[in-house]
Amino acid sequence: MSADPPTRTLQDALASVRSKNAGPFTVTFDLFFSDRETFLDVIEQQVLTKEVVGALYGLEPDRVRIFEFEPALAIKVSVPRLVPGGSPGDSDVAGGQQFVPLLDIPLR
Amino acid sequence: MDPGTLSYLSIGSLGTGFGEESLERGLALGIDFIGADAGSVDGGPQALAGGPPAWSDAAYRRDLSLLLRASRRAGVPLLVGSCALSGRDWGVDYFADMARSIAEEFDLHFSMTRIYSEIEPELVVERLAAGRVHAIDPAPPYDAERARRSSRIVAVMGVEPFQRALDEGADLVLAGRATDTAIFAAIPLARGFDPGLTWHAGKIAECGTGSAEPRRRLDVLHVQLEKESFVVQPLADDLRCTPFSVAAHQLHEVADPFTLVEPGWTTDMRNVRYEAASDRSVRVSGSVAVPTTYTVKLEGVESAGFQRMFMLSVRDPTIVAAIDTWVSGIQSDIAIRCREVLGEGALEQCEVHTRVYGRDGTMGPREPITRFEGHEAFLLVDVVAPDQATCESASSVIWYAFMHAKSPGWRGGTTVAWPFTRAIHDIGEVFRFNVHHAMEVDDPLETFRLESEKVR
Repeated sequence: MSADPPTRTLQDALASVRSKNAGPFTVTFDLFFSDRETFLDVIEQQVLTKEVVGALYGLEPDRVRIFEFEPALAIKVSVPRLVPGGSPGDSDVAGGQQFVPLLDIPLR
Repeated sequence: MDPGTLSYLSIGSLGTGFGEESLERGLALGIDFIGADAGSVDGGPQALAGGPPAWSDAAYRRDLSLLLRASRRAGVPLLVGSCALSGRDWGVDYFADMARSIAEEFDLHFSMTRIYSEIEPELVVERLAAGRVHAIDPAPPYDAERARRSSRIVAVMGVEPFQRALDEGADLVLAGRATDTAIFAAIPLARGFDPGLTWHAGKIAECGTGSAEPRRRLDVLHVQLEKESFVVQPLADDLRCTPFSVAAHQLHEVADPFTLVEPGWTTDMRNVRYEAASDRSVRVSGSVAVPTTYTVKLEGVESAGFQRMFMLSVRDPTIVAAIDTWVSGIQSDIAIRCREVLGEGALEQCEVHTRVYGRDGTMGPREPITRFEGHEAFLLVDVVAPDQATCESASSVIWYAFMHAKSPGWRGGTTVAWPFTRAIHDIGEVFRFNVHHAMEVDDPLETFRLESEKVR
């Protein structure tokens, strides 16, 4: 682990996060930014990619979906759940807490 | 032809409440129907499998009673989708009994149509063989054997069963499993409103004031459809719709915010516009819907076995400092004792889930922090076995092994802490969703059964 963590991460740029199932097999994260400048800056930095998210969630990049949604100044990230919602072995039936690994993505 | 305007109310989620005053304000605006979604799969498979719905009898009755009286007073239909959470046949009957009882209490008279959405696994088997069942990515493996393992399957209805019920004169439609949006699209589509706008409006409306701010408990949303746009507004004073809050709802609980797939229609929502119509209402336009091959999504559950669970905590610093090796050190005790009690191979038929809260209890393998810190840990252990007797034996063996697991620092002294005198808790039979597929049907009504009656 680096001795000098980045000074700014995705968490610092976010105004709000919503984390929720999209059906029993997918969990989706809506990342809202506080203003257009921040939203465009995060997109321009190209730090939120399928490869980055795939590495965080243990998935091949092509299993990750990412959408930029300008009307809500948001980026949506959708990934398959580890197990279907509510199956034995699940630890987050509605998917409300699974966004956390995204918060530490470093920003310039 | 210009269809004029049409307006409706959406209360959010039946059973979670709404303001009575908001409903009254909505009626005063003059509306064409009231819609209420009651469904969700967010709570997992138990409700579809046969478990109780999410909310209490009193909570459902309060909402249904207010809505039914409002709809009768206004002389407009009330459409309820996905009765009692899962939309299984029992839920439709449960709400129907409640509606009859409310009618008696308030001397209401109306036509009621129940729409049932459970289907036989053999129909799915036949469609699988014909290549007419299509995976919705990500989907689990699915075949005839898995379809036959389902203890219950529902088909998720589109607008057509609602439209048939209304054509036959229903004042109250109690539908089994339905898409959230179909509840709100049935009447506008029948009256010739633009399909893209209609489906998009249904998507925004499905959670009531989920599309308003501030985000508090759900309340009544008013939707007005026009020829080239629709307008949404909340009816409670402390809420408002802004272009931002309404746009944000386009993202709500969908994997892809630009493509709304519904039975018989796909709506492209890439080029949508959200504009303030007032300081608390928003005008929306730009969605385009195209007809597609007619399919219904399947929701099905199969048994996963029988489950029991126990919880315990450790504060002993020598256990906490070596929590991983402490847990793994217990496993051989468990294996030996399970073999003694249940015989060779019995433990291997069980799933044992050991969640260490404070370490990765919430995220499991997706927890990015691998280092464990803190002065105590909470463990939740559950056992899933093929039958109840095996589950009882295995869970008690595993519990005993944890209770007397050796402390690495004190030469085997001490025991763990647990909070209740009944240490092991029976969860009963548990299930899993086993299908995420769309099935082609010959007719939109094929998989749905309608039953109409005059109430009182």
